[in-house]
Amino acid sequence: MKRAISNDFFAFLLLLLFLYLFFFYEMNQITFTLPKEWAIVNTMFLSIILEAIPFILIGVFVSAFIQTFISEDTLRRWLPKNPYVAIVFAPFFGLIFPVCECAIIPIVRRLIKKGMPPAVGMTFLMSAPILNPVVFASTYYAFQAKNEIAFARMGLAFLVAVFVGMILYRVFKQKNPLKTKIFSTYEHVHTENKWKVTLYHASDEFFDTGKYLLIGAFLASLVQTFLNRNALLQIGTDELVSPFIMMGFAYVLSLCSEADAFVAASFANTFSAGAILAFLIYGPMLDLKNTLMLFAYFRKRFVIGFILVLTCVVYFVILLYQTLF
Amino acid sequence: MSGNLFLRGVILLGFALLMFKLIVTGQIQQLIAPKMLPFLYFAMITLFMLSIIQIWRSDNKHVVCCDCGHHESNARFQSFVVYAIFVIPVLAGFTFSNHVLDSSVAAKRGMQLGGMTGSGTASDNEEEFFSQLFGNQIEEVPIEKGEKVDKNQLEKALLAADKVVFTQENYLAALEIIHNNTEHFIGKEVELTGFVYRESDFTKEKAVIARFGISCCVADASVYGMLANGKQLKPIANDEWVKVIGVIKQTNYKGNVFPCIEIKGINKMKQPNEPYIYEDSL
Repeated sequence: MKRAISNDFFAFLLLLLFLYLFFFYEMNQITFTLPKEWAIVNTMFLSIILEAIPFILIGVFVSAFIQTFISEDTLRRWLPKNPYVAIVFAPFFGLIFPVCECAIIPIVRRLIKKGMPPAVGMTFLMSAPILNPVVFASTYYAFQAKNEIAFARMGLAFLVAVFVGMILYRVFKQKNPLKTKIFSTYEHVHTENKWKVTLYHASDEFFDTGKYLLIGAFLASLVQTFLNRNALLQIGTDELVSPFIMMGFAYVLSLCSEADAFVAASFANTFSAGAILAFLIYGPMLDLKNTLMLFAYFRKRFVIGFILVLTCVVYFVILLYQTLF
Repeated sequence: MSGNLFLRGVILLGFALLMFKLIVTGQIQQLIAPKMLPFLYFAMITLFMLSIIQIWRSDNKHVVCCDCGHHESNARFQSFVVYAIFVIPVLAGFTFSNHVLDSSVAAKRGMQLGGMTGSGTASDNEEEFFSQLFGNQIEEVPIEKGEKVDKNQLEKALLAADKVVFTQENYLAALEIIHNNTEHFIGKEVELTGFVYRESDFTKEKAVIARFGISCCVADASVYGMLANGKQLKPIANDEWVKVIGVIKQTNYKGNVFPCIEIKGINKMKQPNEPYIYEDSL
């Protein structure tokens, strides 16, 4: 009880501080400044989180909506019985349901909790941020002179997602990869308004997911500020090494899948099409910002397995692309 | 429990207030591109709503229980560190969000001397392609459609004009057009605003008049600009904003031919209110 009171007191002070900053503080009259590089880190950090918060909220709301309104039975009826068929169809779900990589994790977690086979959920997680009209349009626009990049991005992303999904299914079967147990027999006992419950879920999940997003965004903004991109060129533009370097680069930059094509385009003259595609496919499926979220929600072994399989498959598919085209 | 809910409500309110202030003061333009603003409005309103609900809920003795698996994290959540993770961004946003990217960032990212590298002149059947592809959904990508029309029109207009004036709106497109048709632009007068940026191997009399282009948020910023030459550049330090008037020439840089400005006049100026250009506002 005492603790609750001191928490309340602290929260009240914080409220006063926020209100003071909001009403009376002039940003342009700062008397002390951060060292220049840390000011840039701060700018990058704020811009990444302000950009991501709306999409996290969308993800959180969809997840809360699924939690409250869609029953396990309904989900089971919608999904194809054969898991392999479901894995092949999961990527098409992104076409009608465009979500980016920030929003997708809470949604997939919820779907798996509701009984979706984990491999199907992960296939959806990998494909939805790439296989959607918005990402296709921005890639096509960023690579006008080489518009095969946009098509190859879609096609290869589909292959990678299905491949990885099937391998995950072979390895992990139906084992529950989530950290918390599923209480599927447990029903809501309270009779509160469903919409109110949805909102409660949403704000709880915002804090659950948000802390990992914030840490991930901070790490990404360090990379954004301190990594010298010219150094990438010195490491290598070799056919075998460069896809790997661009995958690592995509991982640490943690860009949105809608915007990454523009960054990739700035490397179009120095890196091969294969390396550019590796960047465009790996980044939305896995990056610094969402790895932490994955570790928070899924078992360690599952996440590590997923990362290894995904990395190998993307690299392999890119090499295949380079030999064929 | 109630203390936690109240604290969470306050933090949500803090985020909403920060967004509101950034939007009202226009500072938001220095963090994310205008096309993302509708999403930000949505987030701001939602956060306001959630914070009110949280604060109201914290007063309510009836604690909602459910099978969503949030609650076992409450013990951890009480720790100071986790709340600090949420409070720090809000405080940082209120106090230090007005830093504009400068040449130290440009040096780490490399620059684009010809508009968007990956893009070339748009072919005529592209629009047709998009309308076929998306069917009635073409409204979903109005930016794409608008740009094609503008870029082609702009190209005709610039080829016909004696003087090329770079503006906030045409900056990227003009850069790309000049780069792709340099031979038609040699000898034309040009007027360009940007900050001065020098690569490590540049002399004092050489610089790139550059600007940052942003697609969604500052994290995806790239540097776009034009090479410039002239004695007038000598006293001007990196990162200073200038308006340059000159004549377009050609120059060799790192084995490639680039358009280049032979400077006739240069004026220092204050950093504009909109220091960035946005990749969709051609």
